[in-house]
Amino acid sequence: VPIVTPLLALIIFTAGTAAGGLGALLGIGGGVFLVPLLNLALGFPIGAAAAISLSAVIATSSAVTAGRAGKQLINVRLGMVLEVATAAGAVLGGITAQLVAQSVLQRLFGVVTAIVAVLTVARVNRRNVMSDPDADPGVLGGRFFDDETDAMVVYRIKRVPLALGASFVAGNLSSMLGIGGGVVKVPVLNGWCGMPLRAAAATSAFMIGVTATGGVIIYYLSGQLVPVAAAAAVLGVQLGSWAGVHLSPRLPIRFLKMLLALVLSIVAGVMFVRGMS
Amino acid sequence: VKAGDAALERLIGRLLRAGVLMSSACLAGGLLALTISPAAGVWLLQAGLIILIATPTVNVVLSVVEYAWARDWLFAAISTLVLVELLAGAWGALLFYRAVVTKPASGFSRPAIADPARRRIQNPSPLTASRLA
Repeated sequence: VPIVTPLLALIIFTAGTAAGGLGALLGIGGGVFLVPLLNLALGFPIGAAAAISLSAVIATSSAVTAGRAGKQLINVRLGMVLEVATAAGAVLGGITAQLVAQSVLQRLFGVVTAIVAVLTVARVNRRNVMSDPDADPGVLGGRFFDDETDAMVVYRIKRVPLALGASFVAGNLSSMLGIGGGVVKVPVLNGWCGMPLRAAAATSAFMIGVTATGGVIIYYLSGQLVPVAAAAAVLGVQLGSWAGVHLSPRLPIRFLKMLLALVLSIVAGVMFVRGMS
Repeated sequence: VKAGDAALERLIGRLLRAGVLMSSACLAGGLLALTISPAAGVWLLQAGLIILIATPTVNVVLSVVEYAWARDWLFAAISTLVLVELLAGAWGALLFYRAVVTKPASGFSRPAIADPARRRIQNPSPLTASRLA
């Protein structure tokens, strides 16, 4: 474990700021970038990198959800249902890891992420909202005021089993790769389950805290969580998520979708390289 | 969407804000304190991390209580299931910790400062936990 100098703490703080910003804008915790940065670039062992990353994911989740609450973007009911699958995925992560080697998993994850990135760009103009604001959103759907179109919008959730499956996979990946799994959940909820991107991002941000909790406890108890590094990351997340929460209503949905596609492409590349090395 | 949903969302928001502010205050204070009194700094950092890690779980407990209060039994059951899974995961982690670390675990009270001598494996995941058990 490298000694955490003020400079190293500053680098981790900055990385945390970026992760918090991404969490606020897109609902992903940034673990997919934090783990390789901490492990490959800064020399933390993989366990320590995952532990610091998962702490940052929890901080992102709490800070973004706190900043968003009250706008009805967070679908607590759907989040709770999907958390059943996510938490099961995280707890059973061991079984997956016994069946598939981590390098194979990373390459597979890279390929799937690349495909999702292409699909996100292809569907950038598709909107998931219903034209009738009085339509019944159903038990799991939602209704919120969209600042961009200046109107109340309603959405229904389609393909719940797919959302459950994606959440299970996200939980699985979480404990193995040190990520929150938002990078899986947001594209699936937005692309296939009928959820508007802002609602999907807010709901994912709400869920990733619970997802990361399962993984981080193991690392904490086994003494792999480096407190000073985790503190730097968490404080960075505070700054980033505060900025992101205030910025995101002003950003057009098209920009957010292109940003999501860009992030997914980079993740695909990073995962593929990690799987090869 | 039901009437109480917006209220629950605000309640969760307030709880998470309290958790994240308390934890950040402890962590920032801990980093500063390290330069003056390392013991106090380490203590504050540990407190900050424990508050951080516990916040999402407290949030699930709050959801269970709120749904039960509103007699929304289906969602009370769903959030209870999430809570059970989280606690099962934590219990599994504790068992793993006892199995891997030589000294008997005193749970959260032990300062989790990275000590290479106490670590038997580099990358414990739930998987390796079950493999070692």
